[in-house]
Amino acid sequence: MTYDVAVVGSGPGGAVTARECARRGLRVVVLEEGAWVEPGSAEPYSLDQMRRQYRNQGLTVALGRPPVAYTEASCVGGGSEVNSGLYHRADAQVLQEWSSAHAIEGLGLADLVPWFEAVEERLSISTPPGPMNAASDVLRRGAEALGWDGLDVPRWVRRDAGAAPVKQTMLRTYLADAVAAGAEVRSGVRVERLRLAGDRVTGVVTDREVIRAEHVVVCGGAVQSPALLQRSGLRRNVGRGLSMHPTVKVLAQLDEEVNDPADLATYQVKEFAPAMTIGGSAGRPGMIALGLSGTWDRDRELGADWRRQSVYYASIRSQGTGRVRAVPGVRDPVVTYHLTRRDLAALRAGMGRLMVLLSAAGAQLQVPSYVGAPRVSAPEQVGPAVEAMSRAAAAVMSVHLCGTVPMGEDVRRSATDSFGRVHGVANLSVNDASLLPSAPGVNPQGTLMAVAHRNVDRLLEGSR
Amino acid sequence: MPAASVRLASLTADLLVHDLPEASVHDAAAIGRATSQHLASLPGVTRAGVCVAQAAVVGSAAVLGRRPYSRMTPDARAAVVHRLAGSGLPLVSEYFRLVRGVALMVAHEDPR
Amino acid sequence: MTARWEPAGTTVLTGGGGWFGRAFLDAVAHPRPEHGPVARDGQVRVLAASAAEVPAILDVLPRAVVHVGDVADPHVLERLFEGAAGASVVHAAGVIHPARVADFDRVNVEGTREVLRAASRVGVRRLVHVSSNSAFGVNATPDDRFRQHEPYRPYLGYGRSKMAGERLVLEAAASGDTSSVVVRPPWFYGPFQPARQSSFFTMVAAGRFPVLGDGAQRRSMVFVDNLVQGVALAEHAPDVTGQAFWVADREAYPMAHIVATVAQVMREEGYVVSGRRLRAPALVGRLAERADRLLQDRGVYHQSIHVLGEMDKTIACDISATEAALGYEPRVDLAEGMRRSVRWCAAQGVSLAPRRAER
Repeated sequence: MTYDVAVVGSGPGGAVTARECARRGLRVVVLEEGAWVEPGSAEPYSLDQMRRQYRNQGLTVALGRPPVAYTEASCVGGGSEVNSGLYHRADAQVLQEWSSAHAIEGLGLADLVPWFEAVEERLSISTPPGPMNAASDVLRRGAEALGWDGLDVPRWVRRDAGAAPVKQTMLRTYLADAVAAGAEVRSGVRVERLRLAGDRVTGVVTDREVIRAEHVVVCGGAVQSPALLQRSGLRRNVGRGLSMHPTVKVLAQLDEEVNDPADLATYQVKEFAPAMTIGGSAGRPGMIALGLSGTWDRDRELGADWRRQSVYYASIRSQGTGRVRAVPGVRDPVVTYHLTRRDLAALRAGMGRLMVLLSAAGAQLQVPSYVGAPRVSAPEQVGPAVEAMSRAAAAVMSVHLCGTVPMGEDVRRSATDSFGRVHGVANLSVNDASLLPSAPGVNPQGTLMAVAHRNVDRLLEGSR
Repeated sequence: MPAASVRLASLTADLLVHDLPEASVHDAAAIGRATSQHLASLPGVTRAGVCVAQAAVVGSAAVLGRRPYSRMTPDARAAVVHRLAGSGLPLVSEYFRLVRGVALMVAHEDPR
Repeated sequence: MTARWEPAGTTVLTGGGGWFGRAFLDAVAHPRPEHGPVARDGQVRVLAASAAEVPAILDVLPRAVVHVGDVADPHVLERLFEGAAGASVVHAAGVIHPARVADFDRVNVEGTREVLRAASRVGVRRLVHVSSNSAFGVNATPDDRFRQHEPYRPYLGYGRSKMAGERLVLEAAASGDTSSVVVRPPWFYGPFQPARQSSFFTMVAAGRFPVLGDGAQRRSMVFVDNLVQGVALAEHAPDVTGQAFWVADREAYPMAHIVATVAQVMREEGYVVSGRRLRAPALVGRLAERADRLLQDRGVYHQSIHVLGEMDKTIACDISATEAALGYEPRVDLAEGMRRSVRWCAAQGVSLAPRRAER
């Protein structure tokens, strides 16, 4: 059977693509390498979830000095199934920066607002009524004491009267709509490469068969999409320019109980945004132990007090970039990332500000997450604790990978046009976070979904 | 289980003698196996790097313990592994950093 | 912001012979709107570090009562503060470019400790401590701005001493001992400036002032009369004890812009200004910083190397808290401030560069 559209990857980008195509009567197949895991069946932020819903069980790392641990979902619905569901629109200033640096058409805030609104409506974007959770309130207290700007970030959560809040993952929203409109979703199918003849894709080669489609849309995320293109022989401007939000963490111990293992702080400090953001991380006991692992000999006793502890982070927009390289004969691409001197300075600055804030919020004890970090129990210890974080000792992680198949009209710098159509291949598009030229300083899911809506709309218009 | 994974499980269990003294020998072995299993899903190139680092660990252990790792007593293994984990040696300390992180997650998350 | 205090009956100023000290006294003698609430009729007691400074102090404020002595000497301070209950204290004594690294501690830390002790003993109304950006290091990126609350990350010996001084002052406020406020100027400039600032003009005119890297690193700057305003406001705001305020222009300027502004102003003032701009890689700044660290570790302070080591860095602050809490409003902009500085140098007979007419 030949499909009208084959969508590779079922995360937010793929889900938007599949839904919009299916709703216009096209025959759509969605190919997802990961498993179909019903929302709610894996405990959020747990090791079980890492095993079932993350690529390489959550152990992916961008090589470099220091290496940057990152995570990618691998399941039907992609990142939306596992992340904390915080919603942001990209900053107008960032959209402007992308548009001018990469000659992207139609990417102003005004161009995207209708698509942002469409996404927000479908995902029931809302800020929870009532008091914040305790971990959030720590950040709010600190920010208010210091006069820093911040907000309780809206989430894609539906709140029906009398029912528990329900996270609006792709499986519950866009993919459900796509299936209702006739799309076929196949899980556990790995796409090995695309077969190309002349300027067309003639087949999608999976680990079981070759699928034919009039148009192929690659939505594998910022690591898998470029890797697939490279395996298919498409290398021009593909895989370079990997961008992410390098993040450092600090464990804080408060006087009161702040830890809810099933949730995290939704409050974020925006005083330094988009360059720097302060927020909260998941804090299950295992994550707390992981946070202390760099100083375990000294701090292992602290873990017993996990109910009064929470893990907070500072993340930055990075000047550095990385690369994704598909290596013949090796299943996983090699990912590298170079943190610049300035990035490292910004991470130290972010960590310092985070600790000043936690101190102002009443944290009696803080342990920065890096190898050999000192304990911090007074504000004057913050500076030395920050200075001591060397490249070798730093424990840097990231989510929000972007930039590996950049869009734009400048063919010297971009891999696709302004709407995700791959240069030089008539029936191939990319429609995920790889298109965004850099990590935007906020969770990019809302932005990439709006962009994906816009792109697929343009694509369907063009094919009419 | 491939030999490298068996060795990883054993090194993890040795590490836990000091890291989680309250864990029984049986539990430490179980955590070691689960850690090894989890680390088997590392991306290919990283996994190869971990194998190289593990070779360095085993080599250093032999030097420190004055006999091959496989012929040391459990107590000697734990002592040697403890020293290596805190040594700051390149590769060796990074290896234990990774193993310790995963083992602690496993220890806290998996039912025993 | 509540109503301001009336001027105190007595003012005590340390560091009176210094650059800021004399500018402050000059403003007391001839207050202008940009100085804020600096006018006062009461007694002004001034501490000078040496007898040599006295004429220059009396030159700007003839009615000043000048004491001479070391700011870290309790006997000197006992006399300075005698009967000064309810006084307004401006503690501006400090060394920035010392002969020996050890002077940082003696003056900036021990001096502050002794001033606080003396102020507390007589019960002053308010102590305003002039601090520095150096207690906070440098910004990580050119777009970053230091906020009112930042971790202390001192830059070398001077930074460590200013951090220690600030902490003493803020502790005195927190313990309710002395109502104290910290004022933090970044790079300040203006009349009464020492020779090192005049050489800045000379180097810019000759095209020899090095702009490191792409020149996009930013600097917050403050004209000394704007700084006087910040200090005067801090003296008279009742509700701000225990707080610290950046006093600078609203905008932080790219280094290349500062150099271009100075060149432009000097050209307009009739100086011969080279069109050449000395550019050097940012690495030069990093090397100089490293050399500075090595020297300071050995107790040696070298001014040019120290200054060069800061030239590739961004040092920029956000003054919004100062505007909100003190009502601070910088009146003299960069070009105007530089013009006044250049004219002041000319009036002092300092030769900055050849004049066009002289050719």
